[in-house]
Amino acid sequence: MASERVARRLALLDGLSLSQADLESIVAELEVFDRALQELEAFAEGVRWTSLPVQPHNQK
Amino acid sequence: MSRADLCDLGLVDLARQIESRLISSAEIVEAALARVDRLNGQLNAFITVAHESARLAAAQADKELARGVYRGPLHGVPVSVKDLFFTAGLRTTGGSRILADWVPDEDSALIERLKAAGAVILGKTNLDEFGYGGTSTVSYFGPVHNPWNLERIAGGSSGGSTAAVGAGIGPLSYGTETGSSVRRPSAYCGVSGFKPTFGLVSRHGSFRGAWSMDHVGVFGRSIVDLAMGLDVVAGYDARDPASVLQSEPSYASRLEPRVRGVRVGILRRFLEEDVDHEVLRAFELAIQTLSDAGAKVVDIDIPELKYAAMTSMLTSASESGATNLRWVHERPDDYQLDTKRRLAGSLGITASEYLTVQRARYRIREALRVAFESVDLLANPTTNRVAPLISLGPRGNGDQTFKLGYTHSSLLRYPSMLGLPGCSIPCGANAEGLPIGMQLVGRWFADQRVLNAAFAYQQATEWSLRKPPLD
Repeated sequence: MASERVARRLALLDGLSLSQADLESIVAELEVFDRALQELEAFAEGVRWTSLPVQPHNQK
Repeated sequence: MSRADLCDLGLVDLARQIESRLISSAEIVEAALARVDRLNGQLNAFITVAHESARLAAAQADKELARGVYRGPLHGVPVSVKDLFFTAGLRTTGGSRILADWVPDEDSALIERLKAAGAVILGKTNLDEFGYGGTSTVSYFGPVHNPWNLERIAGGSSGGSTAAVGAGIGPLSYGTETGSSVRRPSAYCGVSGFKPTFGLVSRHGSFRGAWSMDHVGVFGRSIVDLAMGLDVVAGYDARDPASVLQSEPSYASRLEPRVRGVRVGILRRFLEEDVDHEVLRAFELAIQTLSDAGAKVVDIDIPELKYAAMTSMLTSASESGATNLRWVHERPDDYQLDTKRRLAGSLGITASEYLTVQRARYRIREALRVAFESVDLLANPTTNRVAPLISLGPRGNGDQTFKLGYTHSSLLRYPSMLGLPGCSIPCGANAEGLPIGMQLVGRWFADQRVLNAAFAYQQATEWSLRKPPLD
């Protein structure tokens, strides 16, 4: 399941010029991303808003 | 006064002597140029030194003074800027081969404001390529070396700026921060660095790392200098969509060494896992100093912060991948290897996942908003260790960005992710003499409170007076 998700992520990079060493490094990074995104999906459960980086009352 | 002595002066003293014409801008700029020429071979802090334009600007500053025109405390003062800010007529590389010879036609907002204040741009400082990194080793122009130990990193991505200020090359430098690129290199190089609330300083005319997290920051050897340096560059700018309406900046005139009654929260659970014992000891002494000065120190727990590092990193990755999309496709091999792989990998995050990350970010922001109802400042060691060796490479900081737990990495990354004002100030040294920094963070727009507390600490200690063994 995790490997399928990583494969789908890798497909999003289609068209990039990457060496075998690049791909190995990127797959390792995507596996880390994938685990982190699973954690954040659970953490963000029920959160109805996305973040604005600054308090709106001081914004023009 | 000798050239070396001139380089030791802070902005306050330089400004006083220039205004009273005891020394000329030309003398100060020549001293700074001589110092950078002598030290840059060791430090690699500058990508471009603007000898010619700096001398012309200094001569102009002196002519204006002779006519009775004084623009303020930066008049005729040499400052450096990270090579992410566009400078008309002076090459702007981003630390990348892609733009190794690019000369912009226009100045960034930061440079406009500095020139209007009479500052002399000494040169462009080295960095991790386009700001993507935490070591200042991922640069087409080679790694920056720490002035306290040339085998160690300066930290990144604004490492050229902090190495320059730490080495006495100009009293001020300006950089940027997306994750921790102002505070971390400040701690490693033994200088003070301040990242204001998101939106206070315009980013117009600088390379974008991550739209929602990029900040402009300032480095100096004293908090007074930082406040004066911030006054000159803060202000609303319609060209930056994040810019906020604000009153005329007056951080320096309102600066007072005041921490009495200020509630300082310590996130102690985040200090138990991966903070070096010498760093922790220096921090505990620093907190005692703040307490002795009247601060009310309390422990606080914000469990949501456990998610801050990964939330910050995934936000930064998504946004930087989008920013660089064209070059990643068209010129992938012109990036440094680490940058190319990092940017390419970031394209594996989908839009809906990015928004999930932003919901997580909102949850963390709300937790901080609530926390700042019970404390005025949050304090922690800026970094969990002293500057690592250059030989350890781009991952040498040992960050545990994606490890879910009470790791120090989240303390380093939450202020920029949430747009909070944060300062790093020297607070100690390890047995080898390598600097240790303390981070103070305030609620949104409490920039003055952060500066005042840092100023109070600096007045009570001598850590900011130490000089690296370069001479």
